[in-house]
Amino acid sequence: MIEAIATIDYYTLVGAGMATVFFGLLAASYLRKKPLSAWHWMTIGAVSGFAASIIQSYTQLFDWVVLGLTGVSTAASLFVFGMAGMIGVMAYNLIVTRGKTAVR
Amino acid sequence: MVSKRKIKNEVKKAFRLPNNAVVMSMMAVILVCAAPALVSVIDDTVNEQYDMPLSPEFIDPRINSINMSLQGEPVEGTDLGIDIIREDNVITVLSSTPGYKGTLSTFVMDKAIVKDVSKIVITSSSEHSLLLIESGGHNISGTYDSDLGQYTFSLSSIEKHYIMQTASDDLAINVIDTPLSGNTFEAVETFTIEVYGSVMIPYAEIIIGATGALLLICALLATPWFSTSGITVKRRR
Repeated sequence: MIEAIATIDYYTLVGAGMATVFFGLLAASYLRKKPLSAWHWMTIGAVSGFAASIIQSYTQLFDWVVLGLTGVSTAASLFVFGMAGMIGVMAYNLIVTRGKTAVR
Repeated sequence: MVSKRKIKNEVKKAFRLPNNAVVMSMMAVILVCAAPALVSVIDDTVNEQYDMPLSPEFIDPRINSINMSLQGEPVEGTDLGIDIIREDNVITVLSSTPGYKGTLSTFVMDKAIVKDVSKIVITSSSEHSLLLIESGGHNISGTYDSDLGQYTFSLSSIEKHYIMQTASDDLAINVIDTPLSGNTFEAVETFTIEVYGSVMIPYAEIIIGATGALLLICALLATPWFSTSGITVKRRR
């Protein structure tokens, strides 16, 4: 158990988190004008986490995020910047419009 | 009874042109999912169709023996009289005490070769529990064809990046016979290494980089201050 904890790849964890948040915010952008409770957000998070893991198994999306975060590949870093930019803008829009829209 | 007109209207409504927000989010999903998928599809195609044999420069092989055991008793690699010989692309591991188990890690070539490599095929004289390619602690597993005794390692763009970022300069073959398996190392073990690949454009970098740039543009257009109609600033909603 201790060994398992010690071998957690934090970069992959961040990659998985980033992809989950990205898909979660996109899903939230379709649920405009509806008041979302914490339970809604948990459900969106679970569904988008599941979607992200399926996408990972087919496309190795998390690995590209890891390569970008570690700075190994410049192209992957640009990809991570783009993803982070979209996440930032969507989160900002959702906060400013009080959950009405993620893309303006 | 629902009228035809109502159904027609509902269908029309369902297939009406999407608004900018829907287009933007659809585009973002397509970009994030499609770019890595496209790279992986191209990787597979390249590995299957454009393989030509390469003649890499092999280094003088060095061997490390890890967790060795003989008849259930732990032994040091030096006690097994292990020696290694290389002739062109054939690595021969000799031992004066066959029947041992453990991990033999053999450094065979400079890792810089992986940039041009799409596939490495290793033919082993006997079956082992596991055969991996390793560089600086990063392992790549392959597929085993028991009829031919061949392990095939297809290197994706991601694997190449991972290998290139490790601290080690060399590529090693790790041959593992686990204590619980029925496999053991024989007195003479041979490993024939065939390397395939070709020089090609860095398609993965281009696709992923261009997608990143497009995502940044999408992010900019998703803000309330920029729109697709030139430099006109959007009105705040």
